[in-house]
Amino acid sequence: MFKLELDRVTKRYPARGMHRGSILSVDQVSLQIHQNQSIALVGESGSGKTTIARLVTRLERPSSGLIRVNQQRLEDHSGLPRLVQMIFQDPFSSLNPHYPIGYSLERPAELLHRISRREAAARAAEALTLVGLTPAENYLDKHAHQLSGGQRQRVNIARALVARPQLIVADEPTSMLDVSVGLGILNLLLDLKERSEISYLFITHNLAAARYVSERIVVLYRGIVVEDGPSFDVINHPLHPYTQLLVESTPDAHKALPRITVPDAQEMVGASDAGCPFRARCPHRRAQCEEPVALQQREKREVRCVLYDH
Amino acid sequence: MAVSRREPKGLNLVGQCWQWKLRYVPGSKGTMGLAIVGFFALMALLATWIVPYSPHQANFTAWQPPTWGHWLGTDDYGQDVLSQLIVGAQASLVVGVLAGLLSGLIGVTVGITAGYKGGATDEILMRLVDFLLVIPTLALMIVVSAFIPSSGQTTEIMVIGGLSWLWMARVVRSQVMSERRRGYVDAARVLGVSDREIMFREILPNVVPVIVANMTLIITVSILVQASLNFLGIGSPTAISWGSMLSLAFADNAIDQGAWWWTIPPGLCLTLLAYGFSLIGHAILQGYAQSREQ
Repeated sequence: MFKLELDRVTKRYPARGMHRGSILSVDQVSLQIHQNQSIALVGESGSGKTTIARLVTRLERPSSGLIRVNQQRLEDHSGLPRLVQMIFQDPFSSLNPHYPIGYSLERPAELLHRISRREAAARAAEALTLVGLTPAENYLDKHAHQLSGGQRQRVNIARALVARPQLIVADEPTSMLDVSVGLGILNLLLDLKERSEISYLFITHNLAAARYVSERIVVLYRGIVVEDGPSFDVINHPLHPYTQLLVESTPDAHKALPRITVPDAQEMVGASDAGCPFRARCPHRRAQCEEPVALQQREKREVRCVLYDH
Repeated sequence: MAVSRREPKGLNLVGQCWQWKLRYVPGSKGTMGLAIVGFFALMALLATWIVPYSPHQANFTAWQPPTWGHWLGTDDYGQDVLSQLIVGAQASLVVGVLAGLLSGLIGVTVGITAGYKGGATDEILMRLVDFLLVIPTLALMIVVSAFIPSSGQTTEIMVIGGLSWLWMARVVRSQVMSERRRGYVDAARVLGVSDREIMFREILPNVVPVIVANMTLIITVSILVQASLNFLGIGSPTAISWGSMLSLAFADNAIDQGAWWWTIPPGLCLTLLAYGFSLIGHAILQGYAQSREQ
């Protein structure tokens, strides 16, 4: 059974230019993903969600903490590409413009499964069929610039599938696509999950999309987990003031909404600051917010806020 | 993009070459550059058959101005200038192109490694480049050539190529640094592709236009540097090149003698050939910029 665990993972980037010290991108995040489970990481830009995706796929190394895949340390795992694959946000730059689609799909199959070129070609065609690009022969010779954004994203998914992974990390796979095209991609991901027991780490800033594809939602704010729970509960009864803000600011096409005032993040809270990172924008701010808050267990959910500190 | 449409089948070879030219070396500049370089390349290739006399034959009347027998007259050794000019094209092209290729090979390897690996590797390689850049290259080449005993064309190629790769390394490095941030490189890394394969199989094909364009500019410089070295009397003393022709003409007071037919043709050929290569280089860069905008 597949299992991915993040144990108090922290990632700091060295600050550039005039700034000194480092930028804390991910702060002591712990997570578990099991087989055929789908978890969404939700948060605004700079919340560390993409960094987590890059840590899990070994594009970056954690500054501290431990990531384990099937009980084995991620760093030492030689077969990681066969277990964890990634779909990128930008469907335009994530395919090599120089090569036809066929190359982008066959090369990983050849490399990862040590199979002949002919078998790799068969597997590439199979993957294209799975993602709905049929007949596959029409696409193998095409270059990325001859495809639409949605088609390219399907090719990206096909490339991830060629590796036959257990977990697919999807980093905002629909944010650069039209809404209807994006919905097609989400449906495809759901179909694949039903068919092949695959797990997803789904990264998005869109709560509706998160709820659509995943059973669990983890809300990140400035690199820390502020809320974690079943998707339905998190959306319908958000506990953390930040999650409440996120839910409120998701527009509903059927209702005329009163204007929502979004508190400005003018009073920046430094990364080294121990207190709640959201307090500058929080309507419930109080004295205890200056102190660090632990994640509180609440039935099936976890929340990091003094409102629930008992 | 206009070039992406499929060409009709059965297009002849000339048509295909023209399509290729339109795509990679666009514009009238490109056409002119290709025509100039093509002209001299043909001249060098066919030299043995088209020379009116042997370039070493020295039994004509010296200092003859152009006549029907000697289109470009004779020099003070009684040699036919046109024959020397035609054979001289070989030296300029061979040394220029091979030195360009050699510096391309070194520059591309250094540039890709520095740009992709970054960190300490990048720092060490680029400080080396900076150090070599501040050395006056021509002076160093003169010193190096003087120390190497057999001063043939191979030596010229090694010296010029071995010291002209610095700008290539810089340009390739900056291109690779911007390519490295593109998603397909991350995708390859997630798929477990080795660094070497990412550098040379994924990234390299995408920076080829920039490499080729710079290569033509390096060839331009190599041709001129080789002529300068020959003019200064460095290089093979027996080989005929435009630089050595100019050197002899200068040493034997061709200008005072009013023998313009001995000095102007090699000088003009050098300028034209170098100009041809630089036109091609600019056209390639222009085409690359256009394709990037689309």
